[in-house]
Amino acid sequence: MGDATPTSGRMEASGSSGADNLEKREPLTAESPAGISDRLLVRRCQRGDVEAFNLLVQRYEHVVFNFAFRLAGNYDDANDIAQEAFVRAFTAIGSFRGDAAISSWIFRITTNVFLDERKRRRTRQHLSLDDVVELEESSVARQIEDPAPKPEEVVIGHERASMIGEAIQSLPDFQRTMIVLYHVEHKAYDEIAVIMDLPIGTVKSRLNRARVALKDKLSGIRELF
Amino acid sequence: MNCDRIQNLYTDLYEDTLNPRIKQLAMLHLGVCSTCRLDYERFQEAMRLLDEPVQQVAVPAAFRSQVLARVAIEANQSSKLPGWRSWLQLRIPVLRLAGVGAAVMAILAAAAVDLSTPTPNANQGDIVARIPAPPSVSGYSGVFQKLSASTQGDKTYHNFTIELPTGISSARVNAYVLQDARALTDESALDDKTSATLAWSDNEPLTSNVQVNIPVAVVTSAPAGSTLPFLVCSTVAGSGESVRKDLAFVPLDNSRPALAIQRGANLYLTLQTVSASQGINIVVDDAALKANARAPYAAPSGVDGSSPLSALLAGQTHLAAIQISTGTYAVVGQ
Repeated sequence: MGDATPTSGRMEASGSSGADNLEKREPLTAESPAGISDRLLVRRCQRGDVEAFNLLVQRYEHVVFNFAFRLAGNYDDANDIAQEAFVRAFTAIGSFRGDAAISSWIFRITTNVFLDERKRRRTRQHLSLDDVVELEESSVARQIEDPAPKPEEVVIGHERASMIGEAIQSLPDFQRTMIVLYHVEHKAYDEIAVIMDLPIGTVKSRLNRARVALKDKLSGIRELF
Repeated sequence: MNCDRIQNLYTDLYEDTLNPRIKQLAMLHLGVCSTCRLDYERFQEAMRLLDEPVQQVAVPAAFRSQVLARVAIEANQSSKLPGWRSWLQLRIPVLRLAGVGAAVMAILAAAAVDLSTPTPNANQGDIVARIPAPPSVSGYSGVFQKLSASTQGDKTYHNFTIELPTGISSARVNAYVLQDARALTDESALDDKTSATLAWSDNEPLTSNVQVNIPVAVVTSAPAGSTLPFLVCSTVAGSGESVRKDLAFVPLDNSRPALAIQRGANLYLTLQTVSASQGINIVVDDAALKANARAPYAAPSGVDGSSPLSALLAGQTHLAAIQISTGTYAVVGQ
């Protein structure tokens, strides 16, 4: 992940008018997005070019969706979070200054969407999908079909992975986010600092706390050791 | 170095980023404290477990098109382009249960709209003679356009075609199951876990001809002759200060005998009773709900749950009934 290779150094280094002319000669198509830099896509998105945004989504949908999947713990919520993240990215892209990589910026939005949603859910009572609704004369099991695998089912594909996945899912939201960013998404400390809007020292201390918490949860699972 | 302090150093120890003096102190402590030594060994094991490879999941096939549909809405709204409309069709399957009494599903829709520029509804059905619309009713402008059901195997699929008026920026649909056909005495009942079960809640793409398969409930057991009322509500919500709400009652079983109209009940309960008794779909638009939903309803004498809507609404100066499609009637505010 990260910025794709620019199509040419001249394009990136040229003045605005020259870059504009070059951009106009280079059609943006879904068939040949690899050679288009993130910077160019962002610039076009900032002008309201939906096709450029289409290519940006195409470029990052896999990583963003998987990130959302690890955070949310299920396919449907991941879909909601990832969609909302891209919509927010589109509406806010005018304010993206390019100080950080666009990937970090999108991860930051995705993280905020996840944490916002979790906060919203905590304030409202929701029933578990597995609940059985007890009626006076019968019972109704609510069944919301989710054919997609759960994170713990696909992490490694066997029992161990399931246990590790469940342990991660049981962490508080913020700690889970830290663990997923570092250990699943393989983000470096400085990138996590950008995504989480925290100083690097705070990232390290909070990640350590999350790891210690996860260690305590994993230690209780004998089968893992 | 003490036991409390050393836990804070686990990551630095593991990554070997401690300065030599602190590292020496930490190692000395681990050498003499078996509890911390074992704890740190578990930390190392946990870190090794986290290094195991992670399998990726596939992005849903329609993901990008759904994102772009929402983005188009955002772009459209921000540019104030007129005439935007969106269609959402929901399919809600519920297990068919023979011999069980009437059940009712309801859809509650709330959407942020530009109320200053209402858009006439192109799909308005003909007004039937049985339920004549007062001359002042210009038409139904609710979000529900068509409600239908089909059976596949042991499941009945309920299809909701929703047209969102101009200016809606987003939509949320909530499906509820109520434990009693008469549980929806007030909108707040939907937030009450003892009477309403949130069975499904999701944002949906607002593109044309999209069908979403939403399994809401499966009956696992029901004694013979029992009644099993359902009420499934769906909310479409938008952002902003203006919130639009629409409600739909959909009976799941037509065999329930007519219920008496409770005098003093509000519009929710009255229409729910009619829907369950007659086996008809009833939708209520935003204006009707705003003006009448919570107020006590004075039913004319001599009418019950089997009476036509026009009889029920006789004398209600702010309400009128029209048919918008086969088996679906709208109560509209004037």
